[in-house]
Amino acid sequence: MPSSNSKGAGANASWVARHKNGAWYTLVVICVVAVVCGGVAATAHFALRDAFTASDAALEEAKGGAQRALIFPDAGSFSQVTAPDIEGLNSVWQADSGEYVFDVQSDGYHGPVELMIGITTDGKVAGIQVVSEDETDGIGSNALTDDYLGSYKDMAAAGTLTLDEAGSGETHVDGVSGATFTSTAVVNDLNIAFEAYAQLGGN
Amino acid sequence: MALNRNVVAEQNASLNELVHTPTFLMVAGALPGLFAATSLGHGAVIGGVCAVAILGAALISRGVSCFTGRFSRVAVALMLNALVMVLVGFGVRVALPVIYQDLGIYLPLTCASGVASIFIAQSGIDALKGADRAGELTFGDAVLAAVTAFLALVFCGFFTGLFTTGQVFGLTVGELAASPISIFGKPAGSLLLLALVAVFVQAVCDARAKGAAADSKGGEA
Repeated sequence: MPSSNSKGAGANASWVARHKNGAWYTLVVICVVAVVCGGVAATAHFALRDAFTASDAALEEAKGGAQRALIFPDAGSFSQVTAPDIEGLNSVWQADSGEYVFDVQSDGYHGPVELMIGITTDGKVAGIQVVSEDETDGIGSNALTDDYLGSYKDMAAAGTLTLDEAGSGETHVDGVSGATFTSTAVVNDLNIAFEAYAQLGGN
Repeated sequence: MALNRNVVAEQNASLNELVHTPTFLMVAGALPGLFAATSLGHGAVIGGVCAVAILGAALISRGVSCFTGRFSRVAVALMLNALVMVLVGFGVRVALPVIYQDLGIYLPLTCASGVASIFIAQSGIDALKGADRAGELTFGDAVLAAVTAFLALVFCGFFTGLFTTGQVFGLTVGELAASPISIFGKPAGSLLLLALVAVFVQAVCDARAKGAAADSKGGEA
């Protein structure tokens, strides 16, 4: 590092011009700019935290909107309705034609399995979309395939589903071999959706 | 050995001349964004980010020389450019969260590419200071590069989006798939579009250079 006294600078040059190639000046400038840049970035992040929350919510809404459109492609628009107080029920949306879409979740093998379940106006399952899951690839995920979830299409959205032997008011459904936890999560999600649908005046 | 030195010097001079052009700035800045320009909206956002990065880097490189020396200039400019990139990312996240998530790593990557292209152009200029300054990159050149990079990415996004949705000028992709125009829906087509814009920018620069040369000859006469 050269000394602070620059031989090249003229006598009339400013203090900065005379010292800007110096070691201490370089160190101080770099430190000050680093602090200023870090401070500005941190301040901006802090000031925008509410905006970030709102944008994250908008992103979730946009993603959800795309999945709702997959379940009911003919629906013009969806509006959120007040969700009944049921554990595992995240949100309820209603299409302009009257169908419902329930965002539900229950525990699978590695964490919550969140599904979007559509129920038609005549009380049947229209379709199921996977919102989020962390099940084991090739094992638990076998219970989240389009084939398995598609097997619930047109099922009456009433009563309670069970993987065990059906009792009174229950309907037995088949799980996926080797994916008991995930199959149970799917069945639980459907039961939550059925209960919410019933509370909203459905079957 | 003297011949080799002359060849190397000639090559360095050619490279120095190349990186001073708005064409280089536009191509180098826009290249990483081509993959992310999958629709008109995505192309506009990534193009805008690229343009802001190029203009910001051009302004910062001129401003930092006022208070930094040889050893602090690059570090200070890097930090200020990084701050600009961070703030631009914040802005896109707040204003367009869906596009922000879709663009992912390409947002800071395109910013960094725009900044790097200005760095390369400026360091070439610094090396020439005290010698021939005819190749100096002006702020107007940076503006031209920023605008054309934005337009190139918008065009790429427009055509890629059109072919993705399956319709263009009333014809479906099925009918066009067998024709050469379908290449514009693929990455190779994006490179072709970038090359077309680069040719246009270089033509503008050449015309400007010829005009300046003609004016100087007229002044001498």
